[in-house]
Amino acid sequence: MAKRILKDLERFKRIVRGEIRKNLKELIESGEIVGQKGGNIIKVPLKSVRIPQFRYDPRQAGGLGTGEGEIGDPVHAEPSNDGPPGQGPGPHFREVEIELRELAEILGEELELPKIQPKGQKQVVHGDDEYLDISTVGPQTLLMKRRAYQKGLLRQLLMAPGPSLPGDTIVVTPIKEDFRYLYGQPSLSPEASCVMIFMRDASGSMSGEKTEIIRQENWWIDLWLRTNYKHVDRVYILHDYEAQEVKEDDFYNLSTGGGTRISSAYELCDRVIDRRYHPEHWNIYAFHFSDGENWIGDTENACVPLLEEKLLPKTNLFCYGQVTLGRRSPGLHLVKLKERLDERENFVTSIISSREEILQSIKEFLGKGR
Amino acid sequence: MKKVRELEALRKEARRLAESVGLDPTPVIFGVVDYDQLNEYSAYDGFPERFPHWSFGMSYDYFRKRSAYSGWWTYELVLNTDPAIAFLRESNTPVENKGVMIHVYGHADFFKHNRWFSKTPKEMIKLMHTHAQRIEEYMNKHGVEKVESFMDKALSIQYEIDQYAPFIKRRWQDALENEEENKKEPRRIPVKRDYMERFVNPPAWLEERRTQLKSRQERQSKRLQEETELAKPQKDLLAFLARYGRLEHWQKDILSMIRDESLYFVPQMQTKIMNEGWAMLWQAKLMAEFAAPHEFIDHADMASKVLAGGVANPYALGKLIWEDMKERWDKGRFGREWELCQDPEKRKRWDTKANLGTEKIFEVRRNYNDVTFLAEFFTEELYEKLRLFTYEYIPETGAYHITSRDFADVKRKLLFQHTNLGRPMIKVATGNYGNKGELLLLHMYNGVGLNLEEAKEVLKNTYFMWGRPVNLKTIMRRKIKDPDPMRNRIHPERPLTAVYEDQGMLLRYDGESTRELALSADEVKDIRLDEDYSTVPQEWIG
Repeated sequence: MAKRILKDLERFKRIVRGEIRKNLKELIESGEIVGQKGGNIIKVPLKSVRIPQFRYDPRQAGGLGTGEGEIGDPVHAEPSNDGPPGQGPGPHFREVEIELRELAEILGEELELPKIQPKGQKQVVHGDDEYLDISTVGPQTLLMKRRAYQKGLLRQLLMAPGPSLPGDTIVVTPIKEDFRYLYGQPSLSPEASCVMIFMRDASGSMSGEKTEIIRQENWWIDLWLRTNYKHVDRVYILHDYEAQEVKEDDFYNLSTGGGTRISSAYELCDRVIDRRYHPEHWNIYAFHFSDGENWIGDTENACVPLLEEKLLPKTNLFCYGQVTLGRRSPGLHLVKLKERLDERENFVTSIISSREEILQSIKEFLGKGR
Repeated sequence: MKKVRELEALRKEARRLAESVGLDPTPVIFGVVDYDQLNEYSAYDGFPERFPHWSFGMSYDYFRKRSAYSGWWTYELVLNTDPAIAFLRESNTPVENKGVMIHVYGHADFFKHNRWFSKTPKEMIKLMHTHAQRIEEYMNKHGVEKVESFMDKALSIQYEIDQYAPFIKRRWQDALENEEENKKEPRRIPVKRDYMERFVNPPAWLEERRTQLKSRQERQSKRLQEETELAKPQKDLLAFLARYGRLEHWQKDILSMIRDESLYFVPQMQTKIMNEGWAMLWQAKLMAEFAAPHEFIDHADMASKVLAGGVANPYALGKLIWEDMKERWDKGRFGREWELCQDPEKRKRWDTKANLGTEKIFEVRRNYNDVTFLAEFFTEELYEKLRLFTYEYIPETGAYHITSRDFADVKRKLLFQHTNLGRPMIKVATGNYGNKGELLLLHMYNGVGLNLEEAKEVLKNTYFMWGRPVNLKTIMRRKIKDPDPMRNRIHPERPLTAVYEDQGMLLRYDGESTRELALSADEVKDIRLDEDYSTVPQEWIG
């Protein structure tokens, strides 16, 4: 017989999965998950997984804090998972925590996404440092601070007995001989690696809600790809008339007033691939979002050849998403690309006219399993 | 084997040390478990087994993620049984084992001697096992989905109990009293041969007994209905439903099992600060002797982690109060003269060499719970040491703000957090509201409103168990005047908030929809307690 707790866990996971699947569309539209930084764990607000009880409204109950601050100062006092004291045994949950991997699995199941088959022999030898030893010299980043202070305290106590009254404090100043550093060597292992190249039209008409939609969609795409590959790189390219590589935050926050020449982004994308991501070693995914408007003649004369001859042969997948609010008519860029490239297996387009269509768009992009 | 011998030597020494300072713990059995088992037992609130329910899976998942991603682990786990059972993590260092052992003996002493544990069954581990088996049987018989769905509803009122119930005897709280069998047919006398049937159980006789049974059942149901019209409102909705709810036998059984388990946990919830503080107090004192010199820093390091977090941490707050109490009674800082002394210098040097500290703390550990403990021993001096403040949520700014650094306010807030287990008090008024067999619940309002959305969900669950419409009388806050922004000219940093007024309300669920009906001030007179826990300064309002 399986252990009871494993049955309970399985039951819980099944309920959570069911609830997330049921609410996936709303979760994506509300954008509540996107924007959580760092870590392997995502917090998902799922009311139905919580057992309701008579409780105080936390906003009327107030609380107690300790430390500095004037009356009237705002304090950071988000109700925590642990709740106020004395509420009963066990932790109390306001949200369900879920590992990224699990969330990606649910996304995959719900959208019936095929497993990605990394193409060819693309494996990059990637080294993670494993620290198995301790050394007295080393870089600052590998300094073991706790140990340094412990050694320092011990040394100080041995040299001069510290204050004996309880409540008195000892100031510990570690010196060089107290310092210890982690020491290790990189271990090399072959891994399937992928790079995601996100491109976005940054001209004035693309701001606000359109950018927000792109941010949501990219997060979920990113989630799916990063859980399918062990090593992931990301490149962000903004363009108006010219293209430029930017950081992730700038990618969603900058906007410019210039015209639009999409081929500039495709050119830069191609240069980035040639310089840094050799298709022999990398699985390359490119995503481009715009509202479908382009400099006259640029699509057919520059973009199509670039895609046909350079980008499509090098990438696993090239996706173009046209983000237009409220209207579903394809812009000229999309029409012309489809005309010329619809036959190509690794070329996908999608129209996103509101948040409700993000889920469908993700499915169109990733549904090919490439 | 070597390891077990070493641990046994440590255990003996820990017990000797505990007894040397006057502790008198129950015997303790220490189990050595790996981290995964530790997470499992943590999810089960310390027990090796609980009834099947997904919420334990949820806890387990939480503990597993904590230990996997942040290296966090359950420091100590001890069951209030006799002998007590505690767990040591397999990978503990010797000094961690020493710390945990002393800590556990602290708890075992507290369990044995604190008054609030005197009615707790000491064989809870067996009861938990029986509960698990019984609920599993119900699942086999009635289907997992059906039983689980009922338990979801039942657990939503798992703390709607009377924490003092074990100390009082009330007739209707004995949920599992012998109930008259709810059968339609009278029992027949068994016959071996079919042709004997009409001689042994003649039809006329059966008919007569059928009528008797029917009238007896009618009488009984009338009696039950009369009983549900309580003379005065009472707590313990859980027991009330287990007795009078329109439920099947197995459902009532589940309710009473859940109630028994809650009643087991209540004394631990009521004495969390005292109990953890007590264990930390002795751990700190005895480890000075128990830890080897080279281990001491590691122990201090571990203790500082356990004690981190200030006033919200029961380990830290409890320890601080116990230490202060010991010092005060050692130095004679109590009684009329001390209370009347206003001279801070004199107070600072006050020492009558009374030396009553040890006696005092042992007396308090026998007779108090957290509320009385805080009320009496959380002094202004301690509050100053902790630099505490209260904060409140201001809807107008959408943030929490520091509202007061006044001792009285801080203490009021602290007591609020621990009164009635930190939960709103719900009472059963009657099971025959409006003479229609409806349930009426009262939320005894102390100035802090309910989480309404959640309360509505609980009402739905209660409806399922009661079988007729359920009503909840409560009070909520209603905005009557927006703040005047002109008032902010002199103190622009001061948050302003609207004027609010109490609004009586009846929440009602009738099986189809939830309704909110406004009640007049007069109609909610009976649920308004003469308490107010808000610390928002007057000058911020309006």
